[in-house]
Amino acid sequence: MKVSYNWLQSYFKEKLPSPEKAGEVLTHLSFELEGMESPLTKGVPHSDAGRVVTTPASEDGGTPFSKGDTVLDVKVLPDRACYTLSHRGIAYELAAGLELEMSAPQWQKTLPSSGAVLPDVRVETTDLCTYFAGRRVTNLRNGASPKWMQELLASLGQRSINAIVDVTNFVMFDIGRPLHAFDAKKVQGPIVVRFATEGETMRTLDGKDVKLNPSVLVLADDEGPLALAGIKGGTRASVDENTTDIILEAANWDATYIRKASQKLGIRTDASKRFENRVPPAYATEGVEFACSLIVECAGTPETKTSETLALGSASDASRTLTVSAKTTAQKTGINLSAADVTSALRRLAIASVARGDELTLAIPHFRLDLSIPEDIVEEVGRVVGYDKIPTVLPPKTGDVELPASFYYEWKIRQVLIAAGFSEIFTSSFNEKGDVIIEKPLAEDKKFARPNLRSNFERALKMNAVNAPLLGADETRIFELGKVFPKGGEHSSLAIGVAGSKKKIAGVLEGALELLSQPSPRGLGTPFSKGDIKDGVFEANLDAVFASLPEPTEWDISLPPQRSEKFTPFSPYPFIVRDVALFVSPLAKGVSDSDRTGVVFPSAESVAQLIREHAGSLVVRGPELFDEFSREGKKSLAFRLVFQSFDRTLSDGEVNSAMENVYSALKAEGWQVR
Amino acid sequence: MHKPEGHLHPISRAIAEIRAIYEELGFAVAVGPELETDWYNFEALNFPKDHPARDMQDTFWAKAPFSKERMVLRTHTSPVQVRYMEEKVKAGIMPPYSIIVPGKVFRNEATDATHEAQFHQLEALYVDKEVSMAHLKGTLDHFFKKYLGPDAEVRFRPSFFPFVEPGLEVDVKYRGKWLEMFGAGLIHPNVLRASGVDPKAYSGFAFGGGIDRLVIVKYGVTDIRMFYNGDLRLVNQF
Repeated sequence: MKVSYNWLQSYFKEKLPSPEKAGEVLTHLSFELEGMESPLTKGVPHSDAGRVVTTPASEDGGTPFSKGDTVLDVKVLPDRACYTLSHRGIAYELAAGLELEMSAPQWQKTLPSSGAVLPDVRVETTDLCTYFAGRRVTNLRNGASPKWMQELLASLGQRSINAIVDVTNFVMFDIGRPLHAFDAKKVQGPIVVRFATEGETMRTLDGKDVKLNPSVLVLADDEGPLALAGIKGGTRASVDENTTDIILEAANWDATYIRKASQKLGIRTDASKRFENRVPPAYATEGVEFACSLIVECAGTPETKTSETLALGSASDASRTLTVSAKTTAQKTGINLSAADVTSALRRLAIASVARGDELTLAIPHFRLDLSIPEDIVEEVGRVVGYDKIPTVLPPKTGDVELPASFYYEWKIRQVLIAAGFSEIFTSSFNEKGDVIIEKPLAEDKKFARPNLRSNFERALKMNAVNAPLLGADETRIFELGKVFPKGGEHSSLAIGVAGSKKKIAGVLEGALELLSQPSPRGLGTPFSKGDIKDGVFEANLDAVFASLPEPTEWDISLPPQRSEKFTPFSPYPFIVRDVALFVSPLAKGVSDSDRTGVVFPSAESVAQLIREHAGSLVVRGPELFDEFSREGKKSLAFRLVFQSFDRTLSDGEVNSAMENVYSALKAEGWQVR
Repeated sequence: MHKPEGHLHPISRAIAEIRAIYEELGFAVAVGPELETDWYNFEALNFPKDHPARDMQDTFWAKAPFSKERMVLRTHTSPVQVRYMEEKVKAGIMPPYSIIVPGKVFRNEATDATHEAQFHQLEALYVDKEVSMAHLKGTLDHFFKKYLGPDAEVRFRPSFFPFVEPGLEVDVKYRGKWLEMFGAGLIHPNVLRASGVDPKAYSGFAFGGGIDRLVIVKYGVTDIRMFYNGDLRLVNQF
């Protein structure tokens, strides 16, 4: 939620510390800050979150808000949303953090009635609308709202519409209480809170026609729905520049109803967001009062009249108390706190306490709907005292350390297979086919939870086989351990795959199964069936295997050595493999060809070095020696080189010219390239 | 050319290393299903139906032929907290309990270099009489110093997760930078109650966070998606 620093300042007589400092206080006391920016710097990219840009003071110094403003983007979470989706709520947090006294801003006023007729309202659904506050204001002239209000709203990214609408928005952002103003002259008969009837429709303020049904609560007049209760207003009785008479409405809607209805209608608004997080009941009347006085101030004429404030139902702010143990509260924070420390921390949050022995009876402010159990008080005390004060203490050990069989035996499998040259991979748990249907899949090929490992695993095997030269192996051996979701239910599965020389695949796979089947501790001591091999991939249900095994007693798994402490990025582009084979001549000239035992040839490493020097910078692997033999006084060497670029797909031409350089260098040594 | 050399997936290595660190502190490993019920994934963890807290995790709902109930690919490893305690209570074993739960979890969100629809989480649960936030901080501080290095520092910020109260964000200072790492808190009494443990007699702490993120931070892996596309160009580096 966006919060204006200047707006917050109006809650304090004392000067607030800088926006950065205020932001830091909120970060450690209340919630995460997602960013800070100047509202007048348009188009500040989101990545600038956290950077502070403050606007220069404006030329006219007349309004209290003409100085540059800073907007704090505060991440309000559901627990505190009931009171902090508002400037007043954030100011309350700041007051606690900075130990400052809050004072009501000058615009929060109450006007007495001046004789307008009370709005005519009937609530049919008192369980979902427990309270309805309303007030009529007449003979207004609805122009632009004052500049200070427009600027504050603009800080939050809110467009100014007209004085009446701006005031209702302003009060919502100020105290977190959504309000609605109807043009009273467009309302036919009484306003009734009722469920919509089947087939009723309403055009919303933004011009969308919404089909209603009896699960949707509306505010309606004789002609039909005027507004979607707690969610959005309709066009028919909307306030425009010609509006003179209004009915202000602030009703308390059931949070669960609003959440369900706004989900069903697909309409989420600033109002619905606040209602589904609960709005303190007492704010209804207060909101109507503040809005009424501001509207008269901004759009009043000498003829303007206001009614009494209608109050249907109950909005008791039933001041609640909560009893906690001072000792237990302090103990749970882990900080060494006396009862006096606890009560003084709570006092900063305007929570008064009465102590009787260790027992504290706390007076919970009416808007703190989030405080209902003693653990909530632990949090309040802890965060005010400061979480940095919590010491680090290791808890006592709780007893024997158990080891689930499935976890242990999966590690046994890893150990055996890795020793046999298999590498572990993970593939997607989603698949284009399966039995468990994902309701809102991320992609067409992820519409099911995978029914087996095989399908995604085979794709990975192919990909890795293609990359084998890059990985420096001519065979690919992989395995995966993971949950699968076939018709019969979830179970653990093991897949093992081999790619490479067709003749060898079956043998390598069968060899791996034999290793796994060895008696403990070398293997699992249970047979793994060759019958589960198909197309170079073995897959078996491990739940069945584990069920037959004894409970593990100790952790005897050793990890293979780690090759690197740091990840090295690899290129996403295709690579090209080139081999070069050559005959090298003996090092010492003049040695007779017949004296074969005395012949000394250049070392393979020195030849590789020469190749490396001339192959250019696109070589990502090699030269690797893959063949070597001597015959008739000659020695043959063969090297493999892998070329790849980090920024493009290489052409054959590029690689050919690199190889030409290599060939020339080799020929210059008098060697014969085959 | 040589025969392939076997490599352990870096996430698995992290799990093994984490297990060893916690074993020293007396924490056992616990496991649970990836396809969960609404009860274990949400309700028992104090996420009421139709509550805004349900929006905090983008959820993969699923229809399974073997369940009449709508299922969910677990959005966190926290359901295992409840399953574990429930099982112990049923077996007549009362706290203290201490477990870690390493496992795969799912979030229905668009994927990019730092977001995957599937990733691994580490969960920890500790239940005893008189458990405090100092125990939580001590356990986390010990862990991060062991796993990331002795310079690692831990700090708490207020946050909200329905299954803990107080709820905390755990930041870790690593190589001079504060990184948001885990969520944590004292176990909410509703969770203990749902698991059959009397919250008047026992309290506890819990925390959880991404194992992938730990590995990314520790080894400088640039894209979380590499962990799950089966690519040996990643795995064989470790």
